[in-house]
Amino acid sequence: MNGRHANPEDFDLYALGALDGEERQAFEAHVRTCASCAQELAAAGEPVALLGLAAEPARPAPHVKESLLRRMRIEEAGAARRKVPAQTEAKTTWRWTWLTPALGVAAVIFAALAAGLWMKDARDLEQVRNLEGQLAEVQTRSQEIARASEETDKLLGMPGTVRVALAPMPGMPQGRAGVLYNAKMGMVTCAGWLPAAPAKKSYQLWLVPASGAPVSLGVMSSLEPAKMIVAHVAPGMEPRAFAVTVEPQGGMPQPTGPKVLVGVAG
Amino acid sequence: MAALPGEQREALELAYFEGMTQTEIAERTGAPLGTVKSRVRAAMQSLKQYLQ
Repeated sequence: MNGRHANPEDFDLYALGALDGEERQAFEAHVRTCASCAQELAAAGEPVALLGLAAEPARPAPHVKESLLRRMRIEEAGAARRKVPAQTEAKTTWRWTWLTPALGVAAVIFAALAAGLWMKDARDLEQVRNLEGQLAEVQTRSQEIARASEETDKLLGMPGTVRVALAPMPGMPQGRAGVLYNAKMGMVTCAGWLPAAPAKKSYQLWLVPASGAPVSLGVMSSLEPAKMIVAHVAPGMEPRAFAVTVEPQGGMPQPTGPKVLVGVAG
Repeated sequence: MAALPGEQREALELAYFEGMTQTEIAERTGAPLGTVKSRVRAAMQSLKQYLQ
C-alpha cells in the first residue's frame, strides 16, 4: 500500500490476475474497505476485458497447464505444512496414552487411531477431489478462451458485425463488457470484467430483441473477474440492447434479477 | 498490442495469455519485480489510450 491508497501498478496487475503473495492479500483487504480504490479497480478491469476482443487469437501454451498444476501443488503443500503442529500434538498424545497397560484403554486408542487414519484418508481424498475440480475448471476456462478468441476473430472479419459497449447501471457493481454481434450469422461474443457475483448468484447475458422476450446468451464464467461468452442465436434477430443481470446460480430462462450492465445496440 | 514496446508487450502477454504472476514474469524475464510492475502499468496505460 502507498499511504492511504493502493499502489497504481497493483490495479492493473490485479485485474490481470498477476498480483500474488502478500501484496495480493493486502490489496484485496484494502479494496474491500476503500470505495475509491474499488472504483479504480473496476476501471482497470475494462481494458483487460477488452484485451480479449482486441488481441490476436491465441491458444494457451502447452506449459500453461503445467504451470497451473505447479501452483496448485505449492498451495497444497502450504496447506499441509500448516496442519503439522496439530498432527504432532495428536501423535504425542497417542504415544503417552499407548503406554497405559489396561487392555480396554489400548483398544479404545486403537479404535481412535483407526478413526484418525480413516479421517486423514477422507481429508486427503477430499483434497484430491478439490484439486481435480479446480483443474477441470481451469481446463474448461482455457477451452472457453480459445473458442472465444476464434469466434471473435471470425466476427471481426464479417461484414455487418456490430460492437456494443455495456456500461454499469447506477448503484450496480462497477464493471464493463463489450459485445460483438452479427445478426446475419446469429453469432455473439462478449468479453467483460465484473467483480465476483453475490453468493449463490450468477451473471447472465441477455439479448433484448426489438420485439419479444429477452434471449439468454449464457451465464458468465465465475472463475476470474474477466468474463467471456460465446453464443449463437437464431439468424436475423435484431437486437435492441444487450444486458447483464444477476440471476440465481446457473441462470434463468428469463431475466428476474436487477440489470448490472446495459448497452443499447445501434 | 503489436504497437507496444517489446518488453511491455512481453510482460503483458506473459500475464494475460500464460497466466503468470508478477513474480513468475520477473523470474522468466530476469527483470526486477519493480520493473515488471512498471512495464505492465505502462502497457495498460498505452492500451487504455488506444482503446479510447
